[in-house]
Amino acid sequence: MFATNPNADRVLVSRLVKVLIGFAVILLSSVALAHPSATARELADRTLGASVADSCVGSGKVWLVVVTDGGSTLRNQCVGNPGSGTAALQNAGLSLTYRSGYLCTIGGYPAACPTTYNGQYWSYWIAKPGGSWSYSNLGADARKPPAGTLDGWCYTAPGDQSSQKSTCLRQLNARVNPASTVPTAPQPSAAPTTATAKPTTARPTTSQPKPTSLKPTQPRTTRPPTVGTRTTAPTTAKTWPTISRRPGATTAAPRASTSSKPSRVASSPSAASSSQSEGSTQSPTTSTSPSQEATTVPATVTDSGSPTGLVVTGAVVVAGAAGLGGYLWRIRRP
Amino acid sequence: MARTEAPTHPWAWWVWALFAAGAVSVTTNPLLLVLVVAAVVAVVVARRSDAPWARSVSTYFMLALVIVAFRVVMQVVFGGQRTGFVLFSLPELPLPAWAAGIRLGGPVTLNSLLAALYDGLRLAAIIICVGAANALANPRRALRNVPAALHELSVAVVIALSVAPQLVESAHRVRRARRLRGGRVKGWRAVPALVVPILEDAVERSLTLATSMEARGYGRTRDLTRVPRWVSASLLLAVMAVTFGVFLLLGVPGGARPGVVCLLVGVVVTAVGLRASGRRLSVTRYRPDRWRWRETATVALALAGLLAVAGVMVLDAGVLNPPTRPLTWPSLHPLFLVAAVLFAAPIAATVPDAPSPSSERPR
Repeated sequence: MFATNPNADRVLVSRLVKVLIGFAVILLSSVALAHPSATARELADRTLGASVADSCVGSGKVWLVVVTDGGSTLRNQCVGNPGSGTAALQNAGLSLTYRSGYLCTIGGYPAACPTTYNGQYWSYWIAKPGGSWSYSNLGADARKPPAGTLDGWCYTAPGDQSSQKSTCLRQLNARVNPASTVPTAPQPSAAPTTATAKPTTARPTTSQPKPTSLKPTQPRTTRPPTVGTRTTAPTTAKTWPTISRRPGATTAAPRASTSSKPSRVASSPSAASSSQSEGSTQSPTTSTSPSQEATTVPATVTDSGSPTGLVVTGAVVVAGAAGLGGYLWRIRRP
Repeated sequence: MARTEAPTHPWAWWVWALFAAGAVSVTTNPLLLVLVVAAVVAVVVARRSDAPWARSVSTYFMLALVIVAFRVVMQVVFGGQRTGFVLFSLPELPLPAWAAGIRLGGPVTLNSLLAALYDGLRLAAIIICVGAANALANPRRALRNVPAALHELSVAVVIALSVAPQLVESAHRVRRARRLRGGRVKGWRAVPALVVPILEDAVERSLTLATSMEARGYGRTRDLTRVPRWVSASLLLAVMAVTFGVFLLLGVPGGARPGVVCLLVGVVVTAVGLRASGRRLSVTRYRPDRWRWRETATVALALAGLLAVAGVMVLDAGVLNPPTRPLTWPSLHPLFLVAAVLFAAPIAATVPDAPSPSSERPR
């Protein structure tokens, strides 16, 4: 029964205090665990990115974040006012490869376009300052990023859809959290030196040799680092007019090699180059340049291949039709 | 030159056509598609007979053209790829946000047109392969040669194929009778007045046919004591295993190996089960089509063609899907020519069907 025993009271109080302490410990540790653990570099990313991103979106430009499934940052910079999501990537100097119309590599990651779907792909996220990252419903081509918003690209890690999305959200928020981005009017500040230093260390994967051409940008007070970036957009635009003559012209000279994988920034597998050399030795109008050139040519030159395959196929089909016609003529029943 | 050899087994043509369709379905390279389609068409032209079912090839060609045109028009109107080398621009009409992402019109690029063309070409090539099988294989003989387990099913389908023209004729008869009686009701209310006599006619015809078949001994073909008891359960499980294996193979990333194992086990058990349950057919078949070396050669050549395309997948998978962004010429792998020659080789392995007056008469 509940006798008024002072010893029992003390025991009861001490038990209550222990239970309360235990609850508090559990509560605090869960809060600590739920908060994304940030490494020092990510913290630096976030604080620096936040300040530079604030002025970027404040001046009516678009901020781009590109992260991989391994956690490395390909880009975390301001990209001006692109006309589409794809143009935003090109403004940041990233080379893009497509397969069957779908974007499969950005900036050389993954090294080769995957031939079978293994659940990983480049996902496109968008955010407004003060909001949060949301999965974009529109494709990169179909969407013009509005001024003063953020674009994010995340290569999903293997796993099911919900875990992929939560991982991407966490990685994107670790670079720039749009909830804490406040558009501020751009001011001349001493930030450019640190801002210049950060992204060059945060770009470990783009290691191929690039011609250091300055991208012509509109004058900005806080200069995001554009030294060393290379854009593929202007050069591809320059080569398209030559391609436009090809479909009609029959005398177009074949390009550097018979490769058909122009914008693979990683080197093609050696089996591919050997098969290409087989193809070129067997085709009648052969281009004698060695196929190794295709693998070492930097991705600024978009190699569009040569129409020898088309010509050979046409010749084979015509020859087959002629042979069949002769055979049918011979066996016709009189 | 009179040939007295029996015609090619229809299932050999179907297997050849399905292997060709399989080889075509893994690629969007227009060169390989054109080569395989040319080989298939060559075989059809060389080995086609004059029977009415063999004249349906042009229908399949028209269907293939319609598919390609439809795909290109869909890309021009609804397509999502709008950056690239612009050919012309349609007026743009963005749909509201709940029709997520669809924009009607807009600039039409050569890249997107080529991508749509390659996609449409692939489907068109598959349709042409199936059409080739239809043109080369006599459908009635194909139905006659099904496994013994499906005998009753094939008899039902053959009867339906024969009776269908008679249904059309009885519909004409009923309409003529109603016109002669006069005072007909038009529109939807006339439909029950048409349908009931046709159904009556059909039921009466089928009862007459059943009586005559029974009199000829078609009814006493079943002997269920010869079939072991585990067959139906194991057949059901095997078919479920095949379905599950196909789902694993196609739908689950990383499920290729268990999918293939499941599929193989399912197929083997299905074959064994079909063989076992076919023993309930206690009669032999009249003049079965024989499977000789020509049929084996045809199937082997088609399998070799499929393996050639699989070899390209292993050696250089990128050439099977030429990129359209940026624009590149599709490249020709030498194994493409090998695959085309292998798919056209059944011309050498088979003989043209001799037009025999009794069995090929159109009914």
